[in-house]
Amino acid sequence: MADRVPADLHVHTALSPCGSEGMRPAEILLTAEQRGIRVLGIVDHSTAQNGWAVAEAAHAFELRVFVGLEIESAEGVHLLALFDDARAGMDMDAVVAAHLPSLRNRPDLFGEQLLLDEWGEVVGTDERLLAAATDLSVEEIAGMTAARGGMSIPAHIDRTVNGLLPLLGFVPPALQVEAFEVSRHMTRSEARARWPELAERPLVTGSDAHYLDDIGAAYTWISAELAEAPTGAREWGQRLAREMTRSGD
Amino acid sequence: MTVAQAAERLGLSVHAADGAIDSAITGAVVSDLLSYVMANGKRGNMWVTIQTHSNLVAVAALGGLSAIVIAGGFEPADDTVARAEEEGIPLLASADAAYTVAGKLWEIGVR
Repeated sequence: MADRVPADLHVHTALSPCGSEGMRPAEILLTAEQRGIRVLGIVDHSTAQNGWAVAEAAHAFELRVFVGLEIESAEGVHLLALFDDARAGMDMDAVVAAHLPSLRNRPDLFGEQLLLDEWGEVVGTDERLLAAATDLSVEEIAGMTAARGGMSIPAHIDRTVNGLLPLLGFVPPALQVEAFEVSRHMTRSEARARWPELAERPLVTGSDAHYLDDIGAAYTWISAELAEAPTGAREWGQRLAREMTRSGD
Repeated sequence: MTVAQAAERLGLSVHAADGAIDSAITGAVVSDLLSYVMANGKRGNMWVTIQTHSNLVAVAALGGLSAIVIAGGFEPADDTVARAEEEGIPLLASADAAYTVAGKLWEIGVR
């Protein structure tokens, strides 16, 4: 398997209300590296603010990091929007911020939302309710992500809570995304057996880790060549799609 | 009870396929999970939801539903209106919450 390496494109930080306070840059990167993960996607609900801290800290590791957000559409569907760097991620962050309801987080109900620096120090908290739906459709979110050079991956499409297939019944014909993520509760072949329309779709799996111990709990084998490919996120996602179409587990 | 009669009694606005609103209603289904309606919607049911995505129309057509009612004051998306027109699925809307729409349908005898 030397020519294949594991990628986990769905990892949260302590900025996600449901994320553990232990999800800090060095700890995330150390855990991922120890588990052999070579490509990491860092997302928080509705924001990319901690992505730069992880990307900065990643210079000391043998890991490629995509910075992104997990965005909830008006339909309740979660999509990962992943970018090359924090600048592109923060551009999308600003777009999403303008489409969130103006509600404040209740840490006692949802959890703390910690803003971190690259050393893992708490530099503030986000007061907004990040675990909320935007008023954007799935197609609009994917379009805005593509326009900023990012890749879109609907998250845990099998889950009744915030998953594309239960919420929307089937993949909308006009939706343009690079791949689809199956949750760690199901294998990709099980997903293809249950939803025949997934037969020809590029599927990945990710851990959706909110705790350090969950990092790499699910991952996708990709080619070592792709892991290192010096392309932008969108093109990287398209190459990922070619590798993942009809690939098993 | 036809879709037209229910629309009139509940004051629903008609956004698409008003040529198809004379079909009979056999009951109603209330859900925002489209997969649930694919599995449990019955032919002739009126579907009350706050979703506005164009996938609604395909799900309604697949199950032979009599109409879609978008509740809660949400506006149907433009492509949803276009698809509903194409498929001949009446697309209605109400400023009332889904709970209220369902209650009113029950009151006028849609059971």
